[in-house]
Order: sequence, then structure tokens, then C-alpha cells
Amino acid sequence: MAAVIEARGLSWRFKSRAGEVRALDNVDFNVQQGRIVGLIGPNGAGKTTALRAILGLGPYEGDLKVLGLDPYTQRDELMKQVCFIADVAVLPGWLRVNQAVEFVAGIHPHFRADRALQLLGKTDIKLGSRVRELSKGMITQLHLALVMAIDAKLLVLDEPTLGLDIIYRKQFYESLLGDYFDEERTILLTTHQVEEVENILTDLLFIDRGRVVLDTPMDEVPTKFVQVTVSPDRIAEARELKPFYEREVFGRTVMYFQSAASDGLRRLGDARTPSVADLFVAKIKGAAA
Amino acid sequence: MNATLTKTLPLLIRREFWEHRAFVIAPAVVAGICVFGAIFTVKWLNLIANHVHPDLVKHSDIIISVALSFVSFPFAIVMGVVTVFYLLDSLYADRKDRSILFWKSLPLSDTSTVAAKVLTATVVLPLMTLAATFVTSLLMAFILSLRLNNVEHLDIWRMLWQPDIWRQVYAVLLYGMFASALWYLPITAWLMLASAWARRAVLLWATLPPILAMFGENILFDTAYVAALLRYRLFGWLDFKAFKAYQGDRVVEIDGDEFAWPESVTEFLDPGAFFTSPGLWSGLVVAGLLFWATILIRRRRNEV
Repeated sequence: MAAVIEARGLSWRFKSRAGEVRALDNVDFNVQQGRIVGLIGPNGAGKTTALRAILGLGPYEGDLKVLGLDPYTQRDELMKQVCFIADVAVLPGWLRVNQAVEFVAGIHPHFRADRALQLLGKTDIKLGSRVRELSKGMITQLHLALVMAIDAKLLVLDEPTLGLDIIYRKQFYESLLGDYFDEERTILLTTHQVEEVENILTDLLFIDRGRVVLDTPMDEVPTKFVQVTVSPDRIAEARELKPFYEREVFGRTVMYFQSAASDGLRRLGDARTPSVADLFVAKIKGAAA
Repeated sequence: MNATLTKTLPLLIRREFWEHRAFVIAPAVVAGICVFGAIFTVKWLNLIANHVHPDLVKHSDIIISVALSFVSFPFAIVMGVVTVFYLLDSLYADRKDRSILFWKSLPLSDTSTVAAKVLTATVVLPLMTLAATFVTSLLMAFILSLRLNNVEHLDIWRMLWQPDIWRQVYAVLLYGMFASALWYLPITAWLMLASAWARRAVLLWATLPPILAMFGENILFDTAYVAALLRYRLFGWLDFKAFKAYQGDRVVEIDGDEFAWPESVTEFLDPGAFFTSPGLWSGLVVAGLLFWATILIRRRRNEV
């Protein structure tokens, strides 16, 4: 499979009052076609910056190719193949729903207005309404309807379901998988609700303080990481095996190990594969300790 | 200009109309006031019409032409103000409401975004101003014709409704609109640059730098070149060589006195002087540089 995104030595610096900030610091990663990649990191880790570089919203340092194009200088060309939703619903208040459909239909060569209207038909949104008259959830629904009617090779979603209720969030991910996603397409998404996307992701990309701390396919997580709830009498023994993170849960010690032989670990207590959320916390906190 | 640009530009310009309803409301209000005026001020007009000198009636073509041209003034002034505020808003509003990320998620280059806004300000709005003037003039002329219908020595229908006069007037107005749009293009570009650049207070960013430069120069060097330059560009109607005084030798007699009297308002045009004036071309070069800087800033600035 071809790489949809290739980043080598990618850096993004900006000046703030506190001095120069490296929002991305010499980062390498690839995203392959047909994958659903979760870009996960704490606030301020550089997720949004990484997405901005990929979407051509500013100049970066290092090598970055998205679908073979340089995103910053070829953004208009790139956007024929890529669509994205930024972190919150940011459609302009004066725009009417039918104007939005008409506009995107006229601008985007791969937009299917009939599909957008069909998606909108499932919502309570009226075509004549202005965006400012819609609720926040409706604006997001409108934005999603527009984006999902585009036949794009790469879909970038930055907190796509922020402000939506749980029913619509579930619906969104279901239709994303059922109606939208196929082997030709690639999805890169960030979210704070890791539990919600855990089942649909094929790859994990953790970043923290401008650096990649984990880059792995989901199906390798069970062979790479083990979470052990250690029996109280075995804690010292377990620590010798160098867990990269440990924490207390209801008075019990939970330790996280990297690519260790799980047979040996099983003797120490209850061993299993960590959830993405737990692995995330372990990786970020473990790296900080 | 490639095929996609000719397809997307009209849509981009329509987008500007969706966003800025003042483009339609402002000329409609001015038209309403003008028509209202034509209906309700005919009393004293009747009085004038009854006492107008027969020589003036005989040579009325040019007077009517000038009067018809003057209808464009309130439209041009109001649309000028609308255009200035539109330009200040043009590359700022979507950064302020954060919808810029939506626009940038579409396959649109920043160049075409800026181009659509420039075209809106320098071509579409002047044409709309002209169209509004035309429709309003027709209505006003019709109302006045009805009202002055029974003034004996005034053949108002024949005087007002000469196709040649209307053709000449609208040739002059069309030329005047585009000559001033070209003359003011560096100002247009400067306002857009401020709009793309400012994180807040666009109007201050647009006006303070030239004012500070003017006072700074005056204090430091005791000279006034910046002031002269600004005056030249903003109010330089004498240097703006699009029009000229009547230079023909046609003379008519009005009430015993002789007056230089052009046959048509087109005799005031001076396109030769305008299109060869260094003021025009240097302004266009400056505008080009400012637009280029505007596009570069637009490419990297995605928030306020």
C-alpha cells in the first residue's frame, strides 16, 4: 500500500511571548492508504499543529508529502483529494444551508450534492436556515454532511464530534465506517473520546510535546504491550522487569510493560492487553516520569 | 486564466453577495430616496420649469446630460463607503469567526480567493452602482416627464428621452467608474492587506501607518512628501487625468451672452491623458505588489 502521508524531520516552530515554541520537533511518521489512524496526544502536544502542516495551513520545516504533494504550496490542488473538519463547527453564521451545498458543489470536483442533501434529510436541519440559526450540534451535522459527500482520498477529522450528543456521535462513526470508509480511503482523526474510536482505528499515533511517542498498528498492540494487575506480594519482583509506567487502581498496582514475554508476566498477576486510553496515559505519563 | 478559475470565480463572487447584503440594500435605499425625491419635489421644479429661459430650452441637451450624470453621485458615494468597509472586512471576517478553516478545506487557492474579492470591489460593485443609477434615472425621468407634462414651452418628453443623450451619459459614467476603480486600486490593495494582516482593529491598521508616516516625516525632516502623495492619490482629481475641461470652440447664445457649450458630455473625457499618466501606472504597480503581499499573508494567517 502506498503512503498517503510521509513526514521526515517535520518541525513547526512559532514565536510566542515565552520565546520560540517547537510545536513539532523533528517528527517522522507515515500514514498508509486504507488505514484509520488515531492521532492522539494531550492538549498542546502538537496534534493540531501536525494536522495544520498536513492540510497546508502554514509553512513547516522538513519533508512532508501528502498524496505526493507539498501541502503548503499546493494546498488548492491537495484539497481536491483531501477534506477536513477542524476542531469545532466553524461554518460562517451568514451562510444558508442550501448556499453551503451549492457553493461546495460548484467548487469541489468530487462533491456529490445529492448525497449531501440525502444526509441532511436525515437531520432536522432546514435548507433555508442560516448557520447562525442552527444549534451547535446541527452545525456539526451540516459540516459532516458536506464533508461526507466528498469523495476524498484522505479525510482529516480534528475532534469531529465535539459538542454532539452521544446518539449522534455513535451514528457518525457508524456511517463513517459503513457508508464512507473503504480500502481506497484513509482517515486521520484526533479526538479526546478515545474509547469511542478505539474499535474503528487501525493505527495509533501518540504524540507528546512535539514528538512521536508511539506509532503502531492496532493489531500489534497485544504483542507489544501488556498491562498487569500485580499481586501485592509480587510488586518488587514485577518492578525488576522494568514497567514503563505503574499506577494504583482501587488499592491495586497496575503496571505496563513493553514487548515482554507475557508468560513470565502472567505469574505476577492478571495480565491483559491495555485499552487505548490506558495505553495512552501510560505512555504519556511514563515518558514524563 | 484556466477553465476552473472561470467556473469558480462567478461562484466566489456570488458568495460575497451572500455574505454582504449591503451590496443590494445600500443602492436600493439610495434609489428609494431618489425616486421619493422626484415624486415630492416637483412643485418648485414646476416653478423653475415655467420660468426657464427659452435659449436654455433650445440648448438643453448638455444640461440634461449633466443632470443625468449627477444621479450617479449619491450612488457612487454610498457604494464607495460600502466598498471601503467591505474591503476592510474581506480577509478578516472569516479569520475572526474562524470559518476560514472551512473555506481553506476547499480546493480554492488563496490567489483565487483574493482575486474574487478584488474583482467584486473593482468590477462588480461599480457595475452594480451603474445599473442602480440607470434604473433610478429611468424612473426619475419618467416621473418628471409626467409631472412637467403640461409645461407649455417645455417639450419634456422630447428633451429627456433622447437615446443619444442616455448613451453618451452612460459611456461617460462607465468610463468614470472604471477610471476611478483603476486609480484607487492601490488603496483597494492597501485595505485588503490590512484586512489580511490585522488581528484586531483593521480600520486602525489601515489608517494609522500612513498617518504616522505623515506626521513622523513632518517632525523628523520637516517635509511633507507622504502627505502630498496621499493627497495626490486620495483627492488628486486634478492629477487624475480621466476628464478634462471643455476645449472645443462651439459657442451658443443664452439671453444675449455667449457661452462655450459642448454638444455632448463625452467631450469631457480624456482617456489618452489618463492611460498615459504615470500616476495611473505607478499606482497599478504598487497595487500589484500589495496584492502579492496580501496573498502571501493570507496563505499563512488562519486566525486573528
